[in-house]
Amino acid sequence: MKAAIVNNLAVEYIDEGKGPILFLLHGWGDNLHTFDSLLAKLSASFRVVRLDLPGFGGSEAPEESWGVEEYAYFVKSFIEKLGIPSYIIIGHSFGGRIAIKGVGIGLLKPQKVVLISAAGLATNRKVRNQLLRLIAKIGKIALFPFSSDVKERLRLKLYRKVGGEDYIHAGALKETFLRVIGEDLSPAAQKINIPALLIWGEKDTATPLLNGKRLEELIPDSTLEVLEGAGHFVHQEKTDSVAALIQAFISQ
Amino acid sequence: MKTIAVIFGGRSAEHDVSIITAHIPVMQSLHAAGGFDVWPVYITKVGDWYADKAMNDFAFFKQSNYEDILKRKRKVRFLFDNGLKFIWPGLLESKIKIDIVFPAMHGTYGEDGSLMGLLRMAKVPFVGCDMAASAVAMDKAFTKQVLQAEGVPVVPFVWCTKSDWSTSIFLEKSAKLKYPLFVKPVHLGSSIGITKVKRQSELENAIEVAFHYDNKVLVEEGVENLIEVTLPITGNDEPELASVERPLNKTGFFDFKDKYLSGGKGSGVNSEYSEIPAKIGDELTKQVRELGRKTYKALGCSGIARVDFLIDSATNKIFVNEVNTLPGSLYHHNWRKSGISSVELVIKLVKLAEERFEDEQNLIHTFSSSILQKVGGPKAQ
Repeated sequence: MKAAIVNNLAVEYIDEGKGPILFLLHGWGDNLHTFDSLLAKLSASFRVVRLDLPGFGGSEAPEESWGVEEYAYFVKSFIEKLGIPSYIIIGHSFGGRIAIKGVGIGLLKPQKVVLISAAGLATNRKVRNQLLRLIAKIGKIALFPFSSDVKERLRLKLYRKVGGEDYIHAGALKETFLRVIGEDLSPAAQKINIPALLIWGEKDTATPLLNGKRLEELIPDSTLEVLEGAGHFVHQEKTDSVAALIQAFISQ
Repeated sequence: MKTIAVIFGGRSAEHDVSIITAHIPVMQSLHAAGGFDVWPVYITKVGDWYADKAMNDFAFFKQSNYEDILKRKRKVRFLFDNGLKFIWPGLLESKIKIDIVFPAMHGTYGEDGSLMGLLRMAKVPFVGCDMAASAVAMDKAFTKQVLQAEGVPVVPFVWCTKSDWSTSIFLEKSAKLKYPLFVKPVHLGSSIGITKVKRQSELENAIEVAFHYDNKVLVEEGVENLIEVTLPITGNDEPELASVERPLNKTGFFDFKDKYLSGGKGSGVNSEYSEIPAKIGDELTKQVRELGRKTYKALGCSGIARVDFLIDSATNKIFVNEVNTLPGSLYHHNWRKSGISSVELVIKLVKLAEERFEDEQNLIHTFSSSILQKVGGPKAQ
């Protein structure tokens, strides 16, 4: 594990292997170790760079709330800091969000992009996301008469009711979480003009397959690969298949 | 019955570890020993002071909302009136006189001499190293400079402050060192901001990382064929040595995660992580003990400290790496293996504090002079 100071934040990262560069971005609440098993398959033929995004793993959290664009800017600065000339970006879930936004608005300029169970499209989760934002906004006022213990219990109940586990565990990043989920990245996805490989688990419930299909429609040069029986962490559940798909996509 | 204040927490990266040390073994042992009215004094991460007996129970800090609970309590104030008094102001003002203080703080504002200076001004006896030794030991560069001057072996090093930082000059200074190098913030513990550098191209980034945490940075040579050992010591003028201990974690680095989190069941320190006594042979053990004693005296330590060593197992060369003036959880696991229980250790530290305080009181600090009368100026009306 190495450390670097990027935009005045201390971040931890791993840079290993030799060959064409793969740049890996992990999901929300996760860290760079999410790719450990995938690494074992890829590091023989690639130089693989992965970092703990600000606020996750061993990296410092931003002092203010960030949106997806701030994360994309940060990734750009990190790539410049390491002097990475050309690369292929691979993003899982929230990491996929950053890749879509960064590539879509031209901040990140990889040769190709791989999106694994990527988040970022306003689909059936729109209502849930709006509810979460609403509860966060009015919760303090509505729960004012209760004691702090009761307030905490009621708040957790409400968030769980609308499926906001990530929000509950977001800690200091709660505001960042709300900003991140509040943005529909469809316009950014439409602007991606490099080859894109979309890998989805058939049984993904966090970012359902519908998202993958919609992204395939939005990104002009994209291919969707669906792995049967796999869920949201398809890169861990079907490591061999995911590694083979990535290798084939890169060698095209 | 003596009233003793145990101070912990504070504005430090090691805030949480300090809470553990204060409870296990310090307050736990003071209660077990009897004869003490124990007042826990907790300093929050933003520097607010609270004294409340509810904090005697470690479970208090396991509550997720303990900070909110404290906010509803009155902060404690101090009075320096030929000794130390705690005051809780308000309509029902209350006061207590403190007979002795047991600092249980790690890192900045606690272990670095700041608290010791405050307690000296308050004229109250306190456990552990005094202000000067604490301040020197907290600065890894100062420590090496003092030890070098006293003939204690340390690895070759260079240092730089942020304001004097200039890439070319510092890289030139560092060029005389043999790789791999270690780059460290001089004031931080628990491996924070430390980078191992294998080649010059990595050096600048490592220095930038260290400057992110500190205004002063140390670059030193790594030791080949490394064995790390540590030696806890107590005493004022006559240091008493515990057993030489060797950490058994994979990286060979003294790391808080290994010491505190690797599975110790409520003991505070993970007793499985080290070998006591270290199996390094009689001759090396003897040399480590001699150097430990010399280091303790050279830095003017008193009460308690722990000296860390680096050994090149191929050449049997020993280097003193750093000195910790408040070892986490007092390294009571090591003392226990040396036949001293936590209660005996804590009682001994209290006694040493009282002895040092008494010696200090016997010194002459003021003397009569006529200098004020001799200075010219307007005449008194």
